[in-house]
Amino acid sequence: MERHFHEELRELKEKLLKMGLMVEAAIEKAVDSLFSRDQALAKEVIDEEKFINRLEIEIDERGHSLFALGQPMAIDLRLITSILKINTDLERMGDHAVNIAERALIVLKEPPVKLNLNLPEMAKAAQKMLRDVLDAFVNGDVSLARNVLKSDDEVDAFNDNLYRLLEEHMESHDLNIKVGMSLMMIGHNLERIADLSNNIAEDVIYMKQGKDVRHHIDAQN
Amino acid sequence: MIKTEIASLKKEMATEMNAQGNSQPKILVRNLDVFYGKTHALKEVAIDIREKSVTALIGPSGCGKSTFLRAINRMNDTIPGVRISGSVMIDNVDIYGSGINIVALRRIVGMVFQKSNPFPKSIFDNVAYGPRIHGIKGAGTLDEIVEKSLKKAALWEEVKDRLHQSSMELSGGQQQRLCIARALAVNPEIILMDEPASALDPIATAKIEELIHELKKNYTIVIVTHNMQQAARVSDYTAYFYLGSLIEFGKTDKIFTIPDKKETEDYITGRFG
Repeated sequence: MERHFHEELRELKEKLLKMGLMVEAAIEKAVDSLFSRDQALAKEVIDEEKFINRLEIEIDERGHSLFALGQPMAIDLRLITSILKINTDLERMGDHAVNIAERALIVLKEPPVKLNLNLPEMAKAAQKMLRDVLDAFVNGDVSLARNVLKSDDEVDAFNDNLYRLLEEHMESHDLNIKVGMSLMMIGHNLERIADLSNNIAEDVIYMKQGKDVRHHIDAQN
Repeated sequence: MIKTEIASLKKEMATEMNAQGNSQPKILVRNLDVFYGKTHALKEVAIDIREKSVTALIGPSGCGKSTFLRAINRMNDTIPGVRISGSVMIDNVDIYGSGINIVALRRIVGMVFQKSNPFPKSIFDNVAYGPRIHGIKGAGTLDEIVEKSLKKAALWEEVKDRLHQSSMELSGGQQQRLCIARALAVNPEIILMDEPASALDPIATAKIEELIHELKKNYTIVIVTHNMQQAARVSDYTAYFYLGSLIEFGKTDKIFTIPDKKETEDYITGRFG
């Protein structure tokens, strides 16, 4: 016998996945707008943020209702708790996509930067983390979630490197400060997206195994 | 890809908005007062009960919820010293108006009680009882009604090979589903349930709750329950009664997440009662 509560839980899970796909698409567009120098694409990201925000509220409301009406236990309880947390993280990522798009619009006002920066690789790595963690969520794949946790260091390293390069180029005056600062902010936003993917990976592990791996607590014990 | 996502999201939102306005009031209650002698058991109750939905009545013992339930099929009439005023309209007909045939009313408004009360007859005869009273004859027709009713009550698979055995051999949960099948056999539109799962174990309770969820596609259900979690799980609307008054009535997810009245919040959070 399947409880109709589980059907509603499945629908909530699907809604969260839809949210994930929308955020993933927003980040992809924001990054593309910078690399392909497409202002219209950046403006689309800014314009479409409202749909992500609306979905965030809808998922929150539905999650709260399911808590109150379904009295979830064990895996169901962990699933709804995780969905609500992941929802907040995804919405935040949507904000970062908008920040990237806004910074891209500043960069695009200036002539193209002819420097060898690692930004495309960094964007790719951050986007891969999000894609993997969404897959891990959908399939309950703990080992994939653990891989995502490991990738965070890679994105951090990219960001440190980008920061140093931009600093050097700005110091030697071969990079406009406005553009340099904006690229730095884009790097920062990508780094935050990777961090939030990390949080989601921790939630997936908690959801599946009931293990709290935040702040390396499991290693300390 | 984001375009298709957004398009489908917009469509979903529009469908949800339409769905909210779909359900019509099946039962309209206005100024309903019930007195048992000097006891004022229900005080000016007004409520609209939506068609094909589940409405749960909650509140502490003696709050009037069972009296209200019984007012919907005039079960209070038989209590000595009872006085009822106000109106209960079903499909715009006042069931307390003149010329109302109580037998016909109770065919439309079926009832299931706290303690399962099958007749000491066979499973088949229990379900066929109502249709027979209403003049339906012929083995073929009755067979069909019995099978259909037992299927609707999610009991058919468990009893199809022993329809002519005594209903007393069934488990408590099965007996309760048999009573639901018996109520369904006369083709009602409204089903009243008075604590239908309070005597059952958790598994049998879950089956009844799932059954209620299925039945609301075709019937209007009003259920009294002492179990607040059950009200939350099964109902679309919840009415909170206290001392004979309807304190708050609204969508169940609202009542159980952001009730308007402090009294309701105190009751559902266990701070009172």
